[in-house]
Amino acid sequence: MTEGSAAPWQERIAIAQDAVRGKPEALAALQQVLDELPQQEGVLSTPASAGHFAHFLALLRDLDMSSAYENTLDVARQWVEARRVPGQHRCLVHNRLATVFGENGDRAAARMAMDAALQSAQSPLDEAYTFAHYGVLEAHHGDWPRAVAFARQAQHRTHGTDRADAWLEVRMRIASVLFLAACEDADHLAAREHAQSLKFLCQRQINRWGPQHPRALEALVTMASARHEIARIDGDLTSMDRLTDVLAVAAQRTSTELGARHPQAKSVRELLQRVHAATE
Amino acid sequence: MSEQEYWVRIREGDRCLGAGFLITRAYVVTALHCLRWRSPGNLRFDLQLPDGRSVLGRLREEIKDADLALIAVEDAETHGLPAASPTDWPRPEVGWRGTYCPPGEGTRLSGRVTHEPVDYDSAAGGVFKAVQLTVDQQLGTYDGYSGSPVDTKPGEQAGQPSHEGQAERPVVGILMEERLDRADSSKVSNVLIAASVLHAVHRFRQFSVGYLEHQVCVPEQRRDDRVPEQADEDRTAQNLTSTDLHLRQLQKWEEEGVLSQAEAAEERRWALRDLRRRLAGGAADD
Repeated sequence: MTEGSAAPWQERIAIAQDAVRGKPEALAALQQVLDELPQQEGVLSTPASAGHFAHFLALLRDLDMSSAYENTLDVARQWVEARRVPGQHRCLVHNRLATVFGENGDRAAARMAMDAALQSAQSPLDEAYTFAHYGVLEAHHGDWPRAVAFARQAQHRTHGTDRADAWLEVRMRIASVLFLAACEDADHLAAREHAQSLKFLCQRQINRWGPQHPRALEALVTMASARHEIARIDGDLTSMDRLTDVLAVAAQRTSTELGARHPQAKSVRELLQRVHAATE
Repeated sequence: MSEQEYWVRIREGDRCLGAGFLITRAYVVTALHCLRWRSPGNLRFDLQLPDGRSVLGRLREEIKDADLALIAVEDAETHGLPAASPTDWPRPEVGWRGTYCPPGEGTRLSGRVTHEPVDYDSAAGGVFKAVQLTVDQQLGTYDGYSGSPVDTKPGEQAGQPSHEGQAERPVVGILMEERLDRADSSKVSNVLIAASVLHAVHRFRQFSVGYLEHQVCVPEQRRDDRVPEQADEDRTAQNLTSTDLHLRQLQKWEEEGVLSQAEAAEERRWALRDLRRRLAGGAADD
């Protein structure tokens, strides 16, 4: 692969997968891919390429190539800073990248990506999706006023909308942020209402994707953790134990399906540790 | 369990039947053939933990074609066990280790994972997703190790730096079979076969999303079970009240934008259909 040959993502991913499988010659090829990546055109120009990028990063994480991982993240930061993503795709690509930045604890890059995403939103769904996602990111960092404000902005944009499936994820994120914020405020009445909404939406999400899909598992975890929190508020130890066991199995499914180093797997394990400690 | 060991020794009275892997505090996964010498009809076992304690377990499910069995730990939440052991998918070309020793045996097994998981025709006649391992210790047979967990050290692949800060050794498989020597089939080779934990997770219904979803919703679904002697009038009133509350909630969600108009209308139809079914004597909430 010569410099500037613009290897498509499938080829880059295949090389990284060979390296994960332990093929010794693949490591040299992978190093060349990594060296060329900053100069390549089209690395992050479409939502599909952003998905490939995240997959590639996951493979680097599996390989324990921490400096290569950081350098590759830097490529994404440069794309965001320079607004290299074409305008028509910027909103979705930046949303995807903000998730990656958030998973790596880079709040500043995540915010930069999300601010640009909001400016590039081209439909009410794009806007609502981005606001809801922004709310989740801020909630993750414990900035509840901003998290709730973004969730409300997203909620405002869902009024009068139709077509359930496209909005389901947005609504789940809104309900999740509002639930967590209510718990943070010790507003138990609101927490119960949002938990009820979450249960309803998560069950729809599971039905939508089918039980084998990682998003169904993610929805199950969201629903179980919300109900565990309500059980904790009620002092219902029996339910807390049962829900801890549900989350324990969910943690094993996530770790074995996505790999123990996957951010979703780590996140479920951390959640399990918290609920287990709360139940003990 | 400070050494992070997740094996259990499965016993029936004084007899050791084999080993198992404590995948969560509530469940032990093992090779079904480990239980072949149990007393007829017996479903309960003593599970000896690495710290010497024993807890009771009950056979919950057998998957004969995959030679897997699932044992539920009784009163699991009372034993102070870790909620879940660390697990991972099996990566090839990494070292593996077993922390389990059969009674009277002092050898702990170790070696290397040689391939990515492959479909393997088991001696029990089925197929499971297998992890192929080489073993460094030369023993006449490895039969006593069946059902025990296989853990790996992350970042041990050739040419790769070690995974910094990762103290845990995730479990990737459950030892199942030993391979015979190709040149002399009367001898055991240095190749062992493990079932991947992922495979076990996919095969047992107790680990399915559908089963877990049901577990999350248990209190609501059993609310009617708590009052089996309730008079019909009371039950009717309860059904009307709960449906009324649900319809009000749907209206609120519609106003808040949680549900679209079409979704809310569909949910109302379902709620009323469910109410009619319940008033006609059908099961509630199923």
